[in-house]
Amino acid sequence: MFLRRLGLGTLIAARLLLAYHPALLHLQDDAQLSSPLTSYKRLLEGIFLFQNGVDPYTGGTFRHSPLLLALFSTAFPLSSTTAPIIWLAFDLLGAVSLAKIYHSRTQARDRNRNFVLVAFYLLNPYQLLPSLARSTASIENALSLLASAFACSGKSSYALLALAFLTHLSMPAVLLTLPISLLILRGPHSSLATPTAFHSWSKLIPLIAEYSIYVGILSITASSIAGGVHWSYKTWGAFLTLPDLTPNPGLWWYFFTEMFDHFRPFFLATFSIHMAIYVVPLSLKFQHDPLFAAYIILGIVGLLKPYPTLADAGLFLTLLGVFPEIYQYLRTPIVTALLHLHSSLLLPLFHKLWLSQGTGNANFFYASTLVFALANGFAILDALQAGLRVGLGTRPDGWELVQI
Amino acid sequence: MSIVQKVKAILSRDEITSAKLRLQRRRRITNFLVQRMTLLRALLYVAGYTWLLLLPLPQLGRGIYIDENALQPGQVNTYWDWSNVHSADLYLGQLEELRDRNASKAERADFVRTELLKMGISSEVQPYTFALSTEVLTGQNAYGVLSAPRSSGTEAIVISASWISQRDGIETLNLRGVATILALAKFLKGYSLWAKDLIFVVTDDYMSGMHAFLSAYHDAVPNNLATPPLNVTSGVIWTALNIEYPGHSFSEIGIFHEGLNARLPNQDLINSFHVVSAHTGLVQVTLYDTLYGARPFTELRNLLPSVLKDHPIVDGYLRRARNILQHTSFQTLGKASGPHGLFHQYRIDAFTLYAIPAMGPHGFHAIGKIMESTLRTTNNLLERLHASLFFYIFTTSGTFLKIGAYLPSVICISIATMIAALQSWVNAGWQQIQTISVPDKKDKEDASSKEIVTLDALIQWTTRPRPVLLTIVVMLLSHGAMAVAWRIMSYSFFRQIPWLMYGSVGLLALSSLVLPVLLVEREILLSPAFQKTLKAFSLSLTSTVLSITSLLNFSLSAVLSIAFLPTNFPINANNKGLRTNELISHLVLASLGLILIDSQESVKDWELFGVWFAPFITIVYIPLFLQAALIPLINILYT
Amino acid sequence: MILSCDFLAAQAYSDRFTESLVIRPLEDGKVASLFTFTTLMAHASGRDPINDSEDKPQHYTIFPLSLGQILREYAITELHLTLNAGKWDYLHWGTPEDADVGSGAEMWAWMADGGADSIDSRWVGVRNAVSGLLCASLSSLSIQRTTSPLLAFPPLGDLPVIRPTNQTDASKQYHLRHASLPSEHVCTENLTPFLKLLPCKSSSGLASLLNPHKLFDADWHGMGVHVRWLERKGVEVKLTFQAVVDPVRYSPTHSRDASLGSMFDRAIEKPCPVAAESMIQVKSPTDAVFHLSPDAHMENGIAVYDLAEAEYPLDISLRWPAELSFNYLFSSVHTSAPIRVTRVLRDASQTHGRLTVSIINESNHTQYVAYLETVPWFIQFYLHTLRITVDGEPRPDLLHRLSYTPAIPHADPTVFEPIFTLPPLKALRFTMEVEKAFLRYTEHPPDAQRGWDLPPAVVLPIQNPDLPFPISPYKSQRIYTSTLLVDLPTPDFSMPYNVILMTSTLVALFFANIFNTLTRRFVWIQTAVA
Repeated sequence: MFLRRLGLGTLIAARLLLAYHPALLHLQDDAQLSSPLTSYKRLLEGIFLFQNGVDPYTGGTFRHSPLLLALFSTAFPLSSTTAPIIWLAFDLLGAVSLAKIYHSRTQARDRNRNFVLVAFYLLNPYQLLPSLARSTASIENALSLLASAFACSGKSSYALLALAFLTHLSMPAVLLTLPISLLILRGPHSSLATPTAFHSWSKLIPLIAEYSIYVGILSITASSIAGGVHWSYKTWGAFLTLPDLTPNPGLWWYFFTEMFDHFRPFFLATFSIHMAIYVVPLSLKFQHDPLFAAYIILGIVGLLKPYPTLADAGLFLTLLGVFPEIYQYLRTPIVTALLHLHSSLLLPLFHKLWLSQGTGNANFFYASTLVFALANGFAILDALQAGLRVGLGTRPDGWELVQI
Repeated sequence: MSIVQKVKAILSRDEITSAKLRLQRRRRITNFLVQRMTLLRALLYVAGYTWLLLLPLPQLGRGIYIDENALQPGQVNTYWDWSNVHSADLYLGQLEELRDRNASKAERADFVRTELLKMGISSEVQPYTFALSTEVLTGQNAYGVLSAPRSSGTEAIVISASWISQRDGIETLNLRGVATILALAKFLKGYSLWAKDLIFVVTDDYMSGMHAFLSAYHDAVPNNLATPPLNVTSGVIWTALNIEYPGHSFSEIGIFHEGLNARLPNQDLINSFHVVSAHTGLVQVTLYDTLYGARPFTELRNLLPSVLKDHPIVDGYLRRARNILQHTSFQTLGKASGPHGLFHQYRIDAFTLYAIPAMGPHGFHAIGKIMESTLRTTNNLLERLHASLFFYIFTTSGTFLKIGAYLPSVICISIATMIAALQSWVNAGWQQIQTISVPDKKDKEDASSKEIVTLDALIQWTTRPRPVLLTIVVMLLSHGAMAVAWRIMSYSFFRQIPWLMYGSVGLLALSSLVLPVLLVEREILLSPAFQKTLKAFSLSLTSTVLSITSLLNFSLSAVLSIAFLPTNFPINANNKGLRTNELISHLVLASLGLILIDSQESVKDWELFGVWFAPFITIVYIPLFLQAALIPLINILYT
Repeated sequence: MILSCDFLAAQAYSDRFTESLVIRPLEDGKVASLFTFTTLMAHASGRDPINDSEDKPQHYTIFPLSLGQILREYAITELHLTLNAGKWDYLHWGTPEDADVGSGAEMWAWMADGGADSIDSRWVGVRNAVSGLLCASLSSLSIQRTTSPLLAFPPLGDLPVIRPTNQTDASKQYHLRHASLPSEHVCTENLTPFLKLLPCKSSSGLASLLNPHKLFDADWHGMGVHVRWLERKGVEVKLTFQAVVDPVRYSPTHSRDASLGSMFDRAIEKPCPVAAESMIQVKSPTDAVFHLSPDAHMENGIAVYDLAEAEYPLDISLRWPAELSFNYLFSSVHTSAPIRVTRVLRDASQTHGRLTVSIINESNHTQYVAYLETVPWFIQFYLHTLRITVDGEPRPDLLHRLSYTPAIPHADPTVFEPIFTLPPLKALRFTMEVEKAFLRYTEHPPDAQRGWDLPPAVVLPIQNPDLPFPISPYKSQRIYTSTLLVDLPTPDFSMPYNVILMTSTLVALFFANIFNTLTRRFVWIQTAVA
């Protein structure tokens, strides 16, 4: 008990110390940690323009949601002293919600495990570094965990509201609506082992309606803040049209840097739709365990979204801690781990070789993003198969399981 | 059984049967591979290390060529003549006068500045002070910018000479180099054909002066440097030529091109210099400060039988080997082989012309012509040199190894290490119970269950849990401990008292070994599951480190690939003596890293130039050996 | 006879052509010379875009027809175009006679709004027409380079009131379009059509000195076309050619003695008959050792030659008999500008950089300046990182007013227009971090690795910083900074197919596996008899 408290205390203290360390400020410029849509510098720029009477949404630099603009220009003024605390607060929120999810899923009063989860969330480099770079991606992570946590504990309105906020920060989150609503209806209990069909689909309609009302209200608020609806082209529009080609660990940027102009719209549409097609099948397949469906969908969105950061992969890996029942059925954890090890070293290295040293060219970094995508793909696929495998029980001697 | 029947059989199969067949096939393949893994691994080791040995062979290298067509080296008439040589001699006289009444740094810098001003080149003096943890470096640079007529002054070429020339630790005054700079400035001012500004820099000291100048020029002044912002500036610097001309006259010009952290300039620059020097200056170009015709490794040759001793093949091999080793010695430590090495970090292609001191035949006339022609070549550039000519190893001044010719060696070794890791990972989790001999050929025909029995019963396995978390914690402990050690090594207080510093570093290393032994209980430590998992993780990290450093700093990774070899072959014999040897060898190899850091002043390099050799060795290299040493230590303690 | 005829004609239509040449020795031994050819079309005025049509009959005598037609076609009230090569050295050369010395091509126009076609379409039209007229590639002055700065480019003439409104509103009827192309090179192919605009071409008068071989070897040279409307006078077109030559470089003995012959290797054979006035002025240095021949009559320290009563061939020579070769350290002339600006953009990497500008106030009284930075969209400013210092001390109070238009990706440039207060004899230094955008591979120029030239920034000294807008009331001389070269990150241009291939493969593999896993059914099969 005391040890846990102590551990948590030291964790938080260490996080704060790191966050205030001047040498780590350059992380804010790192393309892997914050995309143009989550960059702290751009957020500051937007607030500066906003406060000096220039409409931040006329230019191309600022692409954050007006809600953040309002929040940070009024309630929580950002400065080198406040920012670390704010970001730490969001991380703690995320960590606590994670523990909550685990608790409400397994019903186990295993505090040690909670502590491990929290520690993992706070120390996982994929989460830690973006948060040190003050990328708003960590806010998005916290919100998505919060939404799921509320959904797990059946607080439907809170969950949907959190989800609506998240949608305003990053549009792909809209894909989570279905699994989260399902989660609200079916509860978080682990039923991977005991699949049962879900019949009352109609109950979804009011939830989704409620969600869209929240989104509507928030949009109206946003428009009143930004003085017009043009903000939506800069924030949500960016997800569909990819105006900023700054490299990130994702699959989009180089594809659309090298894309022939007359094919651009077609492939933009293809990529966006491709990201969406997984939602319904997965929600149907895992209708008995919507939390798992949400988990897999989170992973897929993190892999296929236009402006991903390491934080997205981090969220997926961290959430794995919530599903201990699938561990024994994971087939290639070592491969995934090694791929992640390599890509997490190659990404910054090749970025430097290309853009700072000038010895390598863009293909180097592109290759490393492919490795990263491979790592995430393996992780998702492995988790998915394990999730299905759980339902089929242990292997009797002399029998093998195959898919035909 | 005929084809037709076969096809019929295949068509008549139902899903289940075909699934069974698929399963068998997969198992056969996996078994095939698994059984040959060790063989494959051995082959990869052999291939890798022999490849390293074969690097000096001429068959692997190829002749240099000019990739960027805009360069057009040696295509111009040069106008540098004896009158310019005379002016150079006059400057030299004044410089020698300064030397003889050992003038202060300020006087020297002011002299250069005044001379440049007399030519109508706007120039100024840049004083600087580096405050390092062990010493304070101060100096005065003088530089001038000749802004090219009709050009908007957005690009620039640097021509530089450091006041001191330093080779093999011996410092000589680079007076003729400085004189060349001044004479060149005066001469080049008279022409209107320059498309880029020319920046003439005479830096104090050997390296620190140029570092101060470049930091100030690029507005990237580090915390430990105090220097005013430059008032006379120009545009983006694309190329830079650094002159070292210490002797009275010279016989050949040596190229020094290695930069900080193993950065290399674009090869086109050096190649075009090579062409210019051969066609315009008629001066033999060589690598480093050994004459082209020199015969290295004399003592080694003497060991050879007289037939081989002077055999052209052997001779050529040894020469190339010498150059490669020289190159490796610079790169591994991340050291720059001259002031030019500081340019690369700002994406400026630069190298040093070293006029090898001799009784003749060449002097100001030759070097002036070569410089003029080379400058005209770089002046032709319309774009930054960008072709992928940044990864190469010169074997002689005229031949080099492409990346494809040298990289595979280390990659083979890295893959082998990774296989070792994976094997260890499998063995950690799976335990083989019994083995039945492989069934004979004939009943491999069709998918009868019987056959599968044999296939299945070939090897019986049981699983056991792997202590993954514990292993990771143990590894993190060793890296963390050495990270703390690195902090200590970079504190000025500790650096004043070496014994205290290395004492505490050793203590930290020891603690990272002892703590796990003390804290974790005996059974777990001794269990093969833990030991094999630790081995697996440690080896896969090693392999990753090898493959990644090979792209960043090939020489370093080559050295590492040799150093890490012992960790790849854990001795799990019960012989205590062998284990002790293993333990000691690992610890010795680990401490070798420290010794290298100490003897090469790598910490100072880190402070001054940000050379990451020292932190890398401390935080990555040593812990890997500590992890390797942990296993024999446990076994020795507990058995 | 013919000459005299069109001389009369000139009188009849009261078009007036005057030419002048100003020669000024400089501190560093170079000599600056400015040719000015002015043609005034009396009582004419630019076309009102709404009321009168393009094909109203026109009558031209010595006013350049080709130019006049362009002005009329696009209803341009005021047009300025400069083509310069080289970097003007304000420290040693002082303030130029003709202020517009920005490197490369620069063009701006004032146009009245209204009429069938929009301001922007007319801007495009006049741009292409003028680039055709002077053989300059101005057509690349696309929307990505076009701006409408508030302060730095005021109309130099008057703006006719086209719709009866009160005076303040009249200004609102006019719009400014400005663009500059720093990478444009100036050479003979621009000079030849330029000379064609002159009544005497290069056959006589001052224009006969414009000898390409010499001019384009000068350290600095530039030409300008300035059209404006003056109330109660008419439309005035002013053609200028400015050059800075270096006699020291030419002379074997490194002396700075210069003459028309040595600078242009020509002497003036005969005057231009249609020129109503033709003058050469030499701003002679005040020191005694300076000698000028032939003798001229001095007007307050300036030697003036009138080509009307000069004897030909006329070759003016400036000599310093006392000195054998020029010594830069002890130059007797001292010319330096009251305000100097240095601007550098240093980039740690290809993605980020820092812009550092220092504005030096040489005068001993406080001055106000309007600073103008117009950079293409791919350079994005981080305004919140703007730091203003004097002698290292932060002085945010010196930023008097700030107007800023952020860039729009793949379209409009940034316009950054602050007004600063300059303390006397101090250097105001401000820095700002910038981020470089990543371009599509089709947006890169053929020589992508060279980088992109950024147009020079402009500094305009202003008397009273609080005058009202929208039309800038400040008529003082602009000061140009040097241009900048930034290298942007480049993709591999040979990759499109490979990238599409590889990424698509990866995505397809992922989809296929998910699809398999979700759709195919699991079955237990017996692999061994239990």
